[in-house]
Amino acid sequence: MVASCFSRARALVPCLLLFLAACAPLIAGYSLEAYRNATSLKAETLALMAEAGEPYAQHEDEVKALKVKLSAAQEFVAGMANNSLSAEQWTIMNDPDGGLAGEYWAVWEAQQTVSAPAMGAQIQQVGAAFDEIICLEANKEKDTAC
Amino acid sequence: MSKFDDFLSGVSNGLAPLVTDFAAGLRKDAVDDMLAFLDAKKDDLLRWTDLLAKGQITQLEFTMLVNGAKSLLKLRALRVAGVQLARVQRLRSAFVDLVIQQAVGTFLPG
Repeated sequence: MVASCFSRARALVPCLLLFLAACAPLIAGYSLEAYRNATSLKAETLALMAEAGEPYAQHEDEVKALKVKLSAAQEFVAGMANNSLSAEQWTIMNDPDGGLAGEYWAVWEAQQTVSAPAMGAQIQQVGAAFDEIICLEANKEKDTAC
Repeated sequence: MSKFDDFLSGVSNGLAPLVTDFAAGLRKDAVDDMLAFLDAKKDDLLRWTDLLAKGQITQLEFTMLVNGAKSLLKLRALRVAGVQLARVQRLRSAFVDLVIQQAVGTFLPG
């Protein structure tokens, strides 16, 4: 009788450990604000990128204002616990050497304009990059095909 | 069979479909998706090299596009990793719910 109870109690130990482990989140929960930031900034960023056939000087203020918003979105996700994957995505997006939005602003400024083929290709890449950020955020809530 | 055995059996039976769904999703996202992406990027790289050779894009623009392709792959990998973590978290929650449901059903009948 005593041995049987002891054996059952031992069998419960893995369950109890699992319950304790279940308390620590593996990844941050879904954030509506992060999702909205990403979707609205995608539209704003792609629209401004499409203006790069015109001299940078004509759009410098708009680019600076948008960079502040992009940076704020990055800081927002970086400030959430267990959110390092999303934070890393935003860091790459805004990095001036990262080949995405951050580098596009730098190339536009350096050359004053961006050629039509490069503009088209980069708009596609930055759009796809935003989709990855949006997809990850959506999947934190539930399984979502992106 | 004791109540405790009923409980363990209920948990085991309920666990199988949870794990099957999880494993199916893992394979699709982590492997097929990345392979398809790499294939699509190969065509882009060939097109950009041609544009550079014809002088239709600058070297700075070419560098940006290639850096962008590499970064896009990283963002994709981060997304795949995040989606799997979220899925593991949901599996864990479903397992905890299953254990509670079975325990209540078995030990607190009625």
